[in-house]
Amino acid sequence: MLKSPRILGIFGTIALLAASLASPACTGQILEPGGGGSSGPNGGPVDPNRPGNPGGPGSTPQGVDPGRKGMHRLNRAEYNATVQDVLGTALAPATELWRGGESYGFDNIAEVLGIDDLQYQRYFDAAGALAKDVFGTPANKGRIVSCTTDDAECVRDIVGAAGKRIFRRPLDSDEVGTYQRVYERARGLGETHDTALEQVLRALLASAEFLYRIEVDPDPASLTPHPLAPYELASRLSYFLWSSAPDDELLASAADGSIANDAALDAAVDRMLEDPKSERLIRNFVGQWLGARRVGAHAVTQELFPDWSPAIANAMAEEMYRYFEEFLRNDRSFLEFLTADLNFVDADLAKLYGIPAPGQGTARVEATSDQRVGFLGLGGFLALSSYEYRTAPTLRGRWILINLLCSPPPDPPPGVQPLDKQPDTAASEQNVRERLEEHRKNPDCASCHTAMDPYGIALENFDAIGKYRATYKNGAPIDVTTSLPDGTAFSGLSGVAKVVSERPKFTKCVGEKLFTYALGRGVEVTDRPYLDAVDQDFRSETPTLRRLIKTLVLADTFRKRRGQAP
Amino acid sequence: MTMKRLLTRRALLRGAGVALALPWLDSLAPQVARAQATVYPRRFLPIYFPNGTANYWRPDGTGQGAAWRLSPILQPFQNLKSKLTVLTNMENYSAFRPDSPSVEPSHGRQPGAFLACVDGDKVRGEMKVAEANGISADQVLAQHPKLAGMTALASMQVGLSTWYSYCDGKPCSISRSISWSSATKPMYKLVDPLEVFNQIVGAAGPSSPPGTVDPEAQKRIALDKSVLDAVLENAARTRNRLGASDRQKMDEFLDSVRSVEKRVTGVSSGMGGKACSPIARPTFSATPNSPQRTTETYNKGTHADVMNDLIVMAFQCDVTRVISYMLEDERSEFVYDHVPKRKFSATGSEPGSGNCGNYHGAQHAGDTNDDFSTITWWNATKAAELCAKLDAIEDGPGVSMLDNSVVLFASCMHGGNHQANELPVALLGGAGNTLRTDQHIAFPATPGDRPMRDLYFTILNRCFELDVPSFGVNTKGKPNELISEIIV
Repeated sequence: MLKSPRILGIFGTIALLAASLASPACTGQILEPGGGGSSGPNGGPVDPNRPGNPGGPGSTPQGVDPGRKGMHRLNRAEYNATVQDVLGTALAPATELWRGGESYGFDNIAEVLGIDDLQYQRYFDAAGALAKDVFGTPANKGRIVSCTTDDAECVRDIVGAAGKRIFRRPLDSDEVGTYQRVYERARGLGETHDTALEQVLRALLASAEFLYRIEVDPDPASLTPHPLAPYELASRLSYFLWSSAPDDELLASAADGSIANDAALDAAVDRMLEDPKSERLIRNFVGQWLGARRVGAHAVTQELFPDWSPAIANAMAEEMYRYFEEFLRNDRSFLEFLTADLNFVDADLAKLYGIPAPGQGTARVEATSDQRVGFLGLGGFLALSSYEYRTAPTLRGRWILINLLCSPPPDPPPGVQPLDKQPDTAASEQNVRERLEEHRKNPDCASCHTAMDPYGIALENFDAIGKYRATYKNGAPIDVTTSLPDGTAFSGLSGVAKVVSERPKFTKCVGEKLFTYALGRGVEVTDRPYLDAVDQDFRSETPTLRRLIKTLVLADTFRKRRGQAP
Repeated sequence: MTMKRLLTRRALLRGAGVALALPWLDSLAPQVARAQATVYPRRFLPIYFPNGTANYWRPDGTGQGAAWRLSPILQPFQNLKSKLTVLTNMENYSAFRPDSPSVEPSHGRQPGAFLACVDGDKVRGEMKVAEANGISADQVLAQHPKLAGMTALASMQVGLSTWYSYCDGKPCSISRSISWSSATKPMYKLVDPLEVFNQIVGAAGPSSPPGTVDPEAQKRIALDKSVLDAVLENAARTRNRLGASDRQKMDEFLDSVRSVEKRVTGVSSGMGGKACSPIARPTFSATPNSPQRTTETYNKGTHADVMNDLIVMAFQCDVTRVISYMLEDERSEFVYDHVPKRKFSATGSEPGSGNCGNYHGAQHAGDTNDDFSTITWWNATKAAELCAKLDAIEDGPGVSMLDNSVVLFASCMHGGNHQANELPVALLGGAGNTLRTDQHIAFPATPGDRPMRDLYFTILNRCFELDVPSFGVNTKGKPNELISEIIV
């Protein structure tokens, strides 16, 4: 069943597309890869009235496969958030060393989060440290140790209650027995009630059922879609919006099954976005999708850009998070993501931007008189998409194609001579625009560069750390008028912002990115109809991120799964 | 009561065949390991550098001894020339396609093939999984029954990358991990010297003084065991409810738990090396995703020096015989500003002005630019220093540890052109007198060049005598052939 159509990740699809072209050169096609999928394997019915499902308003009725994903190991951020939320601990055992797999631009992709001896050793050591910490902190210990008598009933209650929070579902009686025996053995070795319970906690935290999000199919060999169990759905939701385990309220709505209905899910999303824990969605999603995590470590040649400092890099990263938050929490239309005249600046960043500094700390400033608008005007984006020594219009264009239009261009063909590494100086004979024009005279380079460079050329008013400039250092004025291969002409930051915002792929792309992040798996051919439907729904009213999140959550791709052919 | 239960517990452990080994008692070392101890162990150390090389790599002249001279980039091996073999015109494109040395996207595909000689993309498509590659040569060796169980760790993977570079749109495991224990399991390397140290010391086992039995330690072991028993029991039960691919994932989990169980209960043990003198716990630490350049607390030079010492220690203590070492991730964008730039010419190099920059940027700034040449030269310098340290340790009468090892120093692409032919490839060490050294062998250019898979085939079968029937993929349809030129 799975042999045809071939299940390909989005990169696979693009690789295939690229491979099918006679030469590695670009065509207009790279801007709109993918597209509609073919029909999937036989499955259950899809509710066409639900937003985000194929067959919903105005969409095509193809594709009835909600897909599946395997056991999903908690990544670093999820592990730390989970132990802190569930145990009340302040420890964050997962350091940068707990490096897991990454794919599709995210570090929460189930399939590449494998495990090896070393990683399990870390989990095992962390389980010990966490249990010790919890039992050494009276308030946290109190959440676990609900009774002090050392009879079997008390121990069973404690295992059941703690186990449910840690495994994110109730334990069956065999499971309770397994962890109860840890208690008994520890007592046999001379441990006290408390220290034996500490061993139980340690065992729960070292278990696969905690370390992985495990979803079970009633019939693992059946390809017929079925709804997730309510606890599984609660976990999907909480790891999407909170990077963490469900709280008591979500667990309660799983226990009574109410989480499975549309209105409850809708309300749960609102409640969860209100909760400060949703800051983790911003950190983990924006940190990776828009690169905010990387700004702090981005290399910049200090001698060429004396305004650059760790503090300003930090302020730029923070601005990216807050900028996204504005759209998420204030329900601003995502169509304004590239055009909103909005910044979040501290004194250093305000100075770099050439706008009045806030009184203290970081301030939200709107409708400033400068030329800077939208996401593409944020210092963090402008720096990240530059070399350490100068701007690179190609890199900026490529960044936009990859991250905002989900249309990655192919790599340069082998053997081409790249631009030299000269910074922009007062002595430069040619500026980067002129040198790129020469580069594009090589027909091998031209087909891709003409599709990438214009976006960056239009942003040339902003140097490699995002500071506005009207001329290059050699005094030559900066020309930001340009056009795409299809003849679309535009100019400057506001021009590129408008052109990119108007591409059909623009809203689709954020949907794809959020889908990938939400489900922890790549986009497959069978997801295309769902994503098209999600996009239609997203655009049918003011496209807010809240709306997008709800549409994704209500779609069958989020609420259902199927088994796999044996 | 407590004592009785403790004793019962110990008896139970013994009964289960998991004797509470007292690692300091030599008698508990596996018989086979002791028998082997009289034969000097052979070791495999592939050292990988990314992005290919600048043009000053190829030595002058071909042949043995005085017939060839070191190139400017290989100058750092000056004192080791008698133990060096340079292979020109080695290729890996035939693992991908029969007709052209161009494999794109190169940075996202060629590193996977470096030690595995397969097209990870193709395997990925066939297996319908998100990431795949092939088992790498070091892991074929580490998993082979001939070596299995001989040392506390089957293999180690270490590296120096502290910055996540772009993965070319492919699974990042391809550009960040050269060792794969199976088609779907990348072996992530350790970059923090402290973690490497802990891994070596941990594997070597606890070191209580002879003749003492610490009841507290025994109790700790029993508690650990009890916790792990519960984990294994519950996971086995959950496994029964899973579909085929999740069962595989659960098996990976169970394997990892069992190996930790062996470790905490003291079964794997040993510091078997007779000349083991562990270095002090490193004070230098490095983490992934930290700054992209030299900072007040991070210097890649220091990082390399500490890592070199740890590799020597691991071999010296005979904790493992197989280590793969990535000097950087593929397509490294790390800024090498800790390396003063040198001025290169056809005859050598001399100190220049300024410091090096972004590695990947340098790769594309012209094939002879000083930045790129200096970074490649710096890689050679660190590899040479490591080899010199191995050469300074006596493995047997008149035989150094390097003499008993195969060190491979190579990259997955040629250079600025990204191509998978004319790879920079150097071998060091005699692998216990099985490899001929002090030679520069130049095979014919493409299409007459020789595949990397044949090099690994030769190393596995001749240096380690494994009888491997074949290794790697050749889309030209050619069977493996020994590279007779390098064999004694």
